[in-house]
Amino acid sequence: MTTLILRRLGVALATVFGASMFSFLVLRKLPGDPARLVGGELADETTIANLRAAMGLNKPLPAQYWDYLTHLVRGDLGFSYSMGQPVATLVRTRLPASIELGITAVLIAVIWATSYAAFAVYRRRRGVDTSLRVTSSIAMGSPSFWLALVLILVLSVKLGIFPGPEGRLSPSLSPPPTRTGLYTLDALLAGQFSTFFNALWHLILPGFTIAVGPFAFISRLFRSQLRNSVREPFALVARSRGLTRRKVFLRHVVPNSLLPLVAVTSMLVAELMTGSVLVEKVFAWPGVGSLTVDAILQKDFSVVQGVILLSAVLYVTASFLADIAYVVIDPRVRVGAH
Amino acid sequence: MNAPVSAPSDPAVSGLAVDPPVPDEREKLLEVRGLRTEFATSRGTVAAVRDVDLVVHRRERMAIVGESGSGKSAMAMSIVGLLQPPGRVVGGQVLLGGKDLRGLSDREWSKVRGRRISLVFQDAMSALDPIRTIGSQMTESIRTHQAISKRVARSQAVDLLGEVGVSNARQRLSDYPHQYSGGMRQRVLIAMALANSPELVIADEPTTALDVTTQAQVLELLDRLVTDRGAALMLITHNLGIVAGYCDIVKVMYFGKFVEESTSAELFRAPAHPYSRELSKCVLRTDQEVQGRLATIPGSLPDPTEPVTGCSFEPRCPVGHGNPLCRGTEPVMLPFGPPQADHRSSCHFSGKLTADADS
Amino acid sequence: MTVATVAAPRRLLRRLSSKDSVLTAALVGVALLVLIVVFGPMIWHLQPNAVDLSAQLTGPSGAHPLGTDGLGRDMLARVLVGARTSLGAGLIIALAGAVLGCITGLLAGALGGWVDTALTWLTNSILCFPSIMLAMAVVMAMQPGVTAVVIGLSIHSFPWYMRTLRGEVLRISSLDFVKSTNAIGATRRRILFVHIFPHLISTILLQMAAVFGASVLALAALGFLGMGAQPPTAELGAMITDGQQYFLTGQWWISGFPGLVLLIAVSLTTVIADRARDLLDPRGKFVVAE
Repeated sequence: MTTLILRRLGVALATVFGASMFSFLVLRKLPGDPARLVGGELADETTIANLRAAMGLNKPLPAQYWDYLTHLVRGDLGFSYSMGQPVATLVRTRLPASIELGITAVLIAVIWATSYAAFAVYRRRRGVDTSLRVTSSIAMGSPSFWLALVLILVLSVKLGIFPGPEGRLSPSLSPPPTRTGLYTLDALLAGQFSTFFNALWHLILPGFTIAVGPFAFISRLFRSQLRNSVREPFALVARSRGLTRRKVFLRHVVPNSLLPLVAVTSMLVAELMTGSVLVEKVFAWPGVGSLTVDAILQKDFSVVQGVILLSAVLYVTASFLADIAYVVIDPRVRVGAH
Repeated sequence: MNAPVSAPSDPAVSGLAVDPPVPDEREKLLEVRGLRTEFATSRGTVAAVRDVDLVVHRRERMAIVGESGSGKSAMAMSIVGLLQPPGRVVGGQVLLGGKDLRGLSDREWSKVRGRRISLVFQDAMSALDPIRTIGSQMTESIRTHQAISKRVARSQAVDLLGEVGVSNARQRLSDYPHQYSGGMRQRVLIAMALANSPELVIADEPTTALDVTTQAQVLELLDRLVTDRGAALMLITHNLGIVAGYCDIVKVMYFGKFVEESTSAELFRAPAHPYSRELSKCVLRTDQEVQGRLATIPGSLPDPTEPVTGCSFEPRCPVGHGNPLCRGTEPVMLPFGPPQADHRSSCHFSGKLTADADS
Repeated sequence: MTVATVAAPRRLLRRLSSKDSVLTAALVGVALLVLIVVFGPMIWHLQPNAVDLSAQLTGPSGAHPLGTDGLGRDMLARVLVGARTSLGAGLIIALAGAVLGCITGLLAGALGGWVDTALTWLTNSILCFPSIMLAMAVVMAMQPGVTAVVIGLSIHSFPWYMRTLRGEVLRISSLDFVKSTNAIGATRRRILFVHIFPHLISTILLQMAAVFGASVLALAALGFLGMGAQPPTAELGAMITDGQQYFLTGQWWISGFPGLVLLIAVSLTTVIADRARDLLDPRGKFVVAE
């Protein structure tokens, strides 16, 4: 099994390597002047020339790439001219907000998708099944930013249930002392329960909006796995041994169907990252996503390059971990046949 | 020796008068009356089980023999209420100890299955949950029907595994199904089926997926366990050859109905239905030289979506093929021979066939 | 199950619609949508860019069925033209990706060896970027506009095709009927084009439906961020941005309708891709049943 892990790790590293090359090339080789992009539209020629020298744009391409890599390895993602800070710092300060949102979205998506799909397959009623498929198709087709607006309009402005686009907390409250950066956790740790609930309440609407896309494909996949497992001989044999439909479903069919869902983790991570970019902006959420949007609107190329590389690394890591997890969890792979 | 063949539904005329049946004093365990089962397919409704009656007594060994598609598995599943859509039971009764099993709720069924009637299936490969240990599945079976602790159930499982011949039983409880060989898995399934001492074991093609040597071992095992626990056995198979050593009663099934019923000795001695005769010819015998080509029954089952006219075996029947009587009138199940043989057959020419055998 | 050669798309369509009423409804819906989008702007009398400051921010009415925006422009006209841009670009992306992806996928699958490894590594590297981010990077480096976005999204979409195609090629070449053809001496190229290709057509079509949906949404997202079609070209995502300031204060139709059109278009194509795949490939193995 160690060889398997090592091999996967090798592939993951090679992919990250390729991704770094790609992000490097895209912004160096495509039409457009990188120095101009970094310096901004309004900088004068001298500044640009200095920038070009500082960025090493006069060196041959492989040398530039080497510079880029060495900086990366040291954690230096460049400097943001529009925001006046190193990119790495910007990302680090804003990451917890996105993580908290991401976790919320994952929880909502997974719980909603699995329970809905399980209910639909267990009940065997055409109506429930169709409603699931229709819901997941609509979920798949909703533009997340538009959905965010609609939800805010209906649930916040019209019905007043949830807070609108005001970020992580009501303006009247101050954040809890920072321990993890996650407001909910930190508030709990500090015993500030009203802050905790406030933060939680603010998480729900944006979290749900981001969760809609993942809900669509998780529910679809889980549904099809359940339908396959239900037809497996072991389900019938279990019933012949005297287990009720419910027990067979919960103890055997569902676990067998959850296993393949591990493969979907990387797609989930990608969806979360994409979702956060758009939704954070609409909800004024101070995370990495809205950072990206701001950087784009400012044409701040360092930030964009840094963020997309980070997203690639995240994706590859998630993918790698999912692969390993699969090997560990599935007894057929873990223990091997006689 | 050729008795005149006239209106065959009148036994007196065909010269095979029988005495009135002797009342059966053994205790009835399972009684099936008029069972009818259908499958809804894209080509129309297909009748899989067409009016089947049978009685299984306590401790009795019964074999149901028939080729693929004869409806024997559908019948077994219908008996335990596990017939899956698109199949459904459309008529008849299934009485266990006098109580009708049709219409039982899921909860009530869970007290019958695995406890009073157990099943052993053919495909042991996928009959077990691949991501749970053998031990956990065995204890699950045991604890479904006995209110005992996990520990006690586990030790019962160890004993059971030992009984079915799995060495190192304690360690092997923690193994997963894919770590067992095919024969081992089948033993485990048998162990699970007999764990709660059922009254009836229905074994549907339990050895078909195994190689010949393992087949014999598994049958021996099944035989021994069933005897030890005083259960009745319904062995469903297409292989007439394995029936002889293990079963008292044989029922031959063709196209959804029984065509011949007899004690196994009598069936092998004097099969009264052309289909049974052909089947027994197909059995390879180790005590005879193989002469010429292996025997087969040419043709295949009739189209199940077409309505039945006359005898369903007629197209393949070496005796009645082309005969207008066989084409036009469906034969009735009638008793033959001495009463203690309990031999019944549904062929217009049964008399002729048994008479030939006797001569 | 016999493996039947997949016929031309027309026969495929007929077979699909006869079996599933939801699928038929979705196909009809898409057909209607196409008709409306293609012919709508020609039929509707109002112009998308006609500014009419006397009719700013009016709600849906007889004269303006979808209302007007901040500059008094008719929303129905804008949505129709915007849909043309958004959906049309989506189609181009799906097709461009298909072409590129099929070529690379076939090469990787058929040639194997180092070609396969190299192409797989390349596509994996591309795939690990979320689509929007990749497209954003491309747009940033080029001039913002539809062309840049289309290029960026096409780069992201072709790996999907490549993977699917490669998988199919590998799977099909191991099927018996292909092996037997090989045995009677057919050349590799012949196998590729005559035997394998027909099977792949339905796979490709399904993949296109899925990619189309994702591309349209990504396109709209980029438009929302101001990176897609530049004014005065109408584009649904940008329209949503335009309407954002008014949305929460009551003039919901400016952002509402463009988003609704996106929702309908992508949901329908998703349903089609989903149900069609169910019918053609119920067990997840791509064998076409009779």
